[in-house]
Amino acid sequence: MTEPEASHLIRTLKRQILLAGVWKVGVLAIILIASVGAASTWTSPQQSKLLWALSIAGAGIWIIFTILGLRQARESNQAAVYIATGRLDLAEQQLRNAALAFNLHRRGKLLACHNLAVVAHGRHEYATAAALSAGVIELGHGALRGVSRICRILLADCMLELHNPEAARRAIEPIPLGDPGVPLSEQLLLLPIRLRCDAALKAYDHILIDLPNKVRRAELLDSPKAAMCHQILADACARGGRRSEADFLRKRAELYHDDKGPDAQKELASDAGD
Amino acid sequence: MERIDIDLADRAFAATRRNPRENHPSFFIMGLMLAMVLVPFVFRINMESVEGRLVIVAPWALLFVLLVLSWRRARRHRLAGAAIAAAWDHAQLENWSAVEAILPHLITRPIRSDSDRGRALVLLASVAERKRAYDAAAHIYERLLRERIGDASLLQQSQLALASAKLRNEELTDAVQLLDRLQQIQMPASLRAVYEVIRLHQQLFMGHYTDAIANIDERIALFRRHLSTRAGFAYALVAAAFHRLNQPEAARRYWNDATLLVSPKRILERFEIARDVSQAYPAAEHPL
Repeated sequence: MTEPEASHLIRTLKRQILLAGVWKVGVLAIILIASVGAASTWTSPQQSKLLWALSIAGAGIWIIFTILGLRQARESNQAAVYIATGRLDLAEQQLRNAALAFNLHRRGKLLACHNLAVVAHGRHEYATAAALSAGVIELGHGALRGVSRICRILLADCMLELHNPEAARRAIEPIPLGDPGVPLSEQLLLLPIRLRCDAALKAYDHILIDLPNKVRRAELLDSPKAAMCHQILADACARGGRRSEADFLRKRAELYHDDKGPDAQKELASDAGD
Repeated sequence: MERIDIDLADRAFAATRRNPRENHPSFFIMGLMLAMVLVPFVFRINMESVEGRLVIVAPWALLFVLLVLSWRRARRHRLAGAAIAAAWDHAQLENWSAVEAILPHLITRPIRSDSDRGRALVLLASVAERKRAYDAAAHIYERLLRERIGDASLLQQSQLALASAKLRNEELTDAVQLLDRLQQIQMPASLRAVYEVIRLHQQLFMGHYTDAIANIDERIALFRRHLSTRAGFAYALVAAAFHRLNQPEAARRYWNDATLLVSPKRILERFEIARDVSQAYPAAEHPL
């Protein structure tokens, strides 16, 4: 998938979500008016029966679309298995179908779109992944807080790969590191990206804020990412004149992983959304 | 949680089992609703009569009750899932007092998701291990494996945890047999690294120090690649092996590496066997 295709997909999703909103209001209005009309005394028995049947049909349509929505969400989750086994073409096809199928509820569509962004990221198509992630964040409107947060982290990683640390910082600014409301797994995705952002923007003072907690979380990362985080924290300590902490963190970084230079570090850090 | 024993573990298994009749009230209401929907098509009813109005209103009233029931059930399961996730996060951060505060609420009521139930019971086993109730921990892992509760990766981890709990409980024959069996099984490299730590602990525990340091370079590479900070525990065991083989330079080096990653207090909490090493060599300074 290319970046223009991703942008086109997001525009289509916007239209479909708007249309689904109109549909939802319409079906709900039909159910409400028909049931009130059927129960009221000013309708004849025949009209009452007809309105009653209409209200039941409206409810039936709602239930069918809800079940379809659940199936879409399940397909999006099944595609995650394809992603995990490296069958990205199959995953992309399944996710595109899930994203474009009509649905009253936005959740299934946005989950599919998020997984498409993960596929694009896995293929190093960072501009595409960024367009899809930005689309999910925009269309989520806080309804899918968890998915939106992961999309922000993914977007920030893509922006770093596209050498735009300012945009990366903007993407993750609303996610506070160390907030108990943010699950630890997401904090562990966020930490290396936030540190890379701050290092790229030379915001060393920012890196040193809440240092013990950052080190505590860096300890939970896998070896290469733990090494990268320790190295960045060590550099920030050295620049801040905190030599003993810098030495300690550098020794730890060496223990975690062999330093293969900045290119290797970048490559290791770029699989945040995988 | 004062004490964890096999009885408490069995009670936790029974209490967290999914209630098979959980959905019965909803099914009953759904059936009733369907029947009410079909009534006007099957019987001739005057829609203006009281019965007619009742037939119109009843399905909606039942639907409302159904929605309230579903919402309450979903909310209960969501809260349980969130509590398990929070307890799991606390366990990763080694904040065990928080885990112990959450756990009694988790293990006394049904948990719908099998994977969440597995995680809650593994947390109980981990707390039991911390309290040195290794027989209870081994019992929990055995039941998890026998009843296949939890996802595949959790079950693989439970196999390794069972071997470790048996070793700590001094059921040496069982532990060695289990480790020998696990050696034949294919597993991801990250789990293989955990396996090697347990094997190292077993070799040290049984006084096979030369075996413990045979292929040490391969083992260290595996620990380094896959265990991240937890490699510190493995280095402490390696240091203990070298110390007992009277190779103080290597022991000092590995103890320094171990304590760079993990504090001596945490190492000794988990591996009492390394106490003499901690007394013989200085730990790395931890300025943070």
